[in-house]
Amino acid sequence: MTEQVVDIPVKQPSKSWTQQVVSSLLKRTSAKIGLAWIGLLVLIATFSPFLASSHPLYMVVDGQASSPLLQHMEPLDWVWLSGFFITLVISALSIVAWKKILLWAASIAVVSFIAYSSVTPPVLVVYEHYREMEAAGKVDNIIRAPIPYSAKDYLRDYADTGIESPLSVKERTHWMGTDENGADVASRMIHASRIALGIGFIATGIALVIGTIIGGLMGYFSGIVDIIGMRLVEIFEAIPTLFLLLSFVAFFGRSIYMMMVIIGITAWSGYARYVRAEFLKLRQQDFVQAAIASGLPLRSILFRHMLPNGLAPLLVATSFGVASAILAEATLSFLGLGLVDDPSWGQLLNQAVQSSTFNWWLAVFPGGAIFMTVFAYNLLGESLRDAVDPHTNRGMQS
Amino acid sequence: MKLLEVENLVTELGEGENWLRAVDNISLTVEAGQTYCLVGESGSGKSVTALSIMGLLPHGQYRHPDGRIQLTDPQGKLPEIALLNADDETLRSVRGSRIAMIFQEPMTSLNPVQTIGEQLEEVLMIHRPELDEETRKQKILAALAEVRIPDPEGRIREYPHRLSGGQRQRVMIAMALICEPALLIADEPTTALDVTVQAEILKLMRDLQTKYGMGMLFITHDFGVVAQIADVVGVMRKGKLVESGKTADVLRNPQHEYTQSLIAALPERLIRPDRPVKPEKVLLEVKDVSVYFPVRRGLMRRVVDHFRAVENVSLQVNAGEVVALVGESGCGKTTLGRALLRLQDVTSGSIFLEGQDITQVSAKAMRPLRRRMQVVFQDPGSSLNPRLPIHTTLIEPMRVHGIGNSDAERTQIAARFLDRVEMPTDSLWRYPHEFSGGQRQRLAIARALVLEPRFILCDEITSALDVSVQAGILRLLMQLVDEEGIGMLFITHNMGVVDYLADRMVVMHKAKLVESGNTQEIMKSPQNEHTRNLLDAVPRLDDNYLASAI
Repeated sequence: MTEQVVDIPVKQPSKSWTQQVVSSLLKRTSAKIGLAWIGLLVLIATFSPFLASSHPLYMVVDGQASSPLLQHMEPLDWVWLSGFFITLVISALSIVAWKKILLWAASIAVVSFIAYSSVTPPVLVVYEHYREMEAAGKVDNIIRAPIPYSAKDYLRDYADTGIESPLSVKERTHWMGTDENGADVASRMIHASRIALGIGFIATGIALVIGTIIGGLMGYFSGIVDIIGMRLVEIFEAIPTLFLLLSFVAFFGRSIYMMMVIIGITAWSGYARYVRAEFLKLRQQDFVQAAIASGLPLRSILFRHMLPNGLAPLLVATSFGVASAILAEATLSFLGLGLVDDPSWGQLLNQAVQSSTFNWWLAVFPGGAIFMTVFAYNLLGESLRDAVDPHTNRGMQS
Repeated sequence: MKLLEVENLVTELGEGENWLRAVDNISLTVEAGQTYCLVGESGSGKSVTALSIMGLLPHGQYRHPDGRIQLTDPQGKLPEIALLNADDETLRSVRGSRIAMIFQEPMTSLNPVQTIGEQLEEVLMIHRPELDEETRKQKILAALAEVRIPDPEGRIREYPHRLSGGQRQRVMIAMALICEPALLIADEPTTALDVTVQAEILKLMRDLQTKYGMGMLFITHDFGVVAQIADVVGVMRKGKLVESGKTADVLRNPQHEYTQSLIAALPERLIRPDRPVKPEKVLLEVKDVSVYFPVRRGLMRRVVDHFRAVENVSLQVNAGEVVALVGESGCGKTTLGRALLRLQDVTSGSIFLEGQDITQVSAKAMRPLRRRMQVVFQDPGSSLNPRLPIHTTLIEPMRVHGIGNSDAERTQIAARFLDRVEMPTDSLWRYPHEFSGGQRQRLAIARALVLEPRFILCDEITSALDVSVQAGILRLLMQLVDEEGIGMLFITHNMGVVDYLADRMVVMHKAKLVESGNTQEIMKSPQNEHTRNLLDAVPRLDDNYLASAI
């Protein structure tokens, strides 16, 4: 071979498959609606302490300025906030996708550790305190959150509180009314958006990881591994998630994290099936055979050549999975087996039917939020399916 | 006697604002008892022309700004019909009874959940409602016997999956001819079939045409087939009919430069370069290799039998030599190729690469050896990882095998090989979907070359490509073998390619090796019966094969 030097043109990256899918996704109205709603939900979840809180953002009492809100921020609030900005920064970095994910996970872990070890908000919270001070005229200057009620502020200082329809009481502004304990519904809904988002992502994340690993192994090795794996899948598919959740709640008490894990470890079988089918198909593809024939290590064949090509149906399944995880939590809370004190959409919905009268605001707002979120994920899933499918894609272009 | 007249047909495909002119101002006439062959490369608009005549284009996604298609009855009994933009009712009455169509893929053109008999009967029930059940059955049996399906009585109760590709195509022909149409449109009916089966089907179609005096519009990309079957030929390019005339005239004496270049690109017409004399050095030696696949049955998946894919095959490839491995589909060529590369375990026998026995080497120990033997596959659509830019595809194997010290150096090497396979160096930053089939095959060759292998296996690498693209790839391979001294095993079913490329050839039949030797000698005087059948079946463009002009 002659050793001439060839001019290499400057790198002009053309659109990769991912970029094509994203741009085709963003052309679809349904995807835009879905993403807009989920984005709004993320913003609300991140900034919920600033949107709805009884603690004033800024307060001057006797000439002393303070920010009770910042003092009362929970470690979880800090993790959400910093997580949001970490995500923004990392997505702007130009590094490989798997490095991004790794970096993200590592920084979230570090931030959580710092937050839980250093932030100690006062244990005793007296919400009435601020309103009493204000009524006594001690406060010189005050800036409150747009909704000046915390999720667990049951308005004990107003003797007449209880269930109220929206804007029915002159002295207090409850845009969406109050629940049976007198807590502001709008505030509870804002704080509950975290649970809706969190349960969707964490439960689906767990299912996705387990499903991809088991499905990938089944598909690549086939034979006896496949036979055992498929039996495992069948066993897990036979477990009724809701009843398992109910019995776990009955035995071990109510914990949102336990719910996430249980939903996660019962939902992986669907993903495993998808990955297995894709891998069985891909294993016979020429480029995978060529990769084996080039002597590439198994790690590269599995993760560089097979997984990215088998990801498309998985992405679609994931967005539907998130929706069903949210629904599972809402169902459980609706049945009264969800969280006790912490807000959740399903729990608010439950209160709509419990009292003797039908409280429409407790049905419409949380029900609407659950509907919109599940709908948004389904819209996203549908458009993603169309975007990754070359046949429907062609229909769009012509 | 005019049967079908197409005048200035224009077909545009698309939707909304975007329209693509697939057929551009085509005029042709099919006469009764005559075969009109439309020939052209992929994307030239041959099939769209046929579908326009049948009115089978997808609803709402086509339009005909101009043109006229007239179907007449040579006997003058039936009314003359304008087919273009005719309503569904008219088209339905014509389809099947006066015009019938056969498609390319026999595997999917029959309904898998209905028996052969039911599918044939349905056609009769619709177009010949006056017949009673017994007459229908007689007609079906007669039609199947006519296309030479053995035991028609038993076959009518069988489902399509029980039939081979060639038999299914025969059933398709029977179905098309059962109502005795005046015109038969055949869209590449033999492309998916083996040469020997193709020869039988072509002969059958010719016989039936003579018997019934049908007109036939035959679409193909293969000039050999044209020479065998056509009376009149039309050459299409990018939707236009560039040349048409009597087959013998067009093929012997093409007027348009495109036709000339197409005919010159046929492997049997390519100019053969002088081959350098090479010292005989054994590169790859295969001794008595067998590959069996276990057949498992029952609840416990016990092995009840073995499917013998390759049985006792021995062959040898020297450095700087091309050995062609020829055989019909299902004869075990591809399995043998995969076994040589250790992509498939062998049941018995041994494989030596440059004197080293690699038959039982573990997968891990095999990895460094893989550098010396590379592979290029058949399907350009799946031979490159669609998610990776060409740069990564080429660099990664080099990095694994320690070629080049830095990625910059490897990029330099990759660019040099791209240049070698006549691809622009900015391909490095592109993704596979931006390339055509022929370009992708070149890139796949570059991927094989970057590891500087001693041996390359080419598995039907040109069979999915157009002739002109194939000619370019064949020339490139020849150069590589001669200049780099690579040994190559070329799996193919195309005898023209074998004749052009191969120094020696090996013929396989039903898992066994039946003949091997010097290409020229085997081509001239095949010793084995199967080799003879294979060679006889190849449609050639020799003058004595040209169907005599009417």
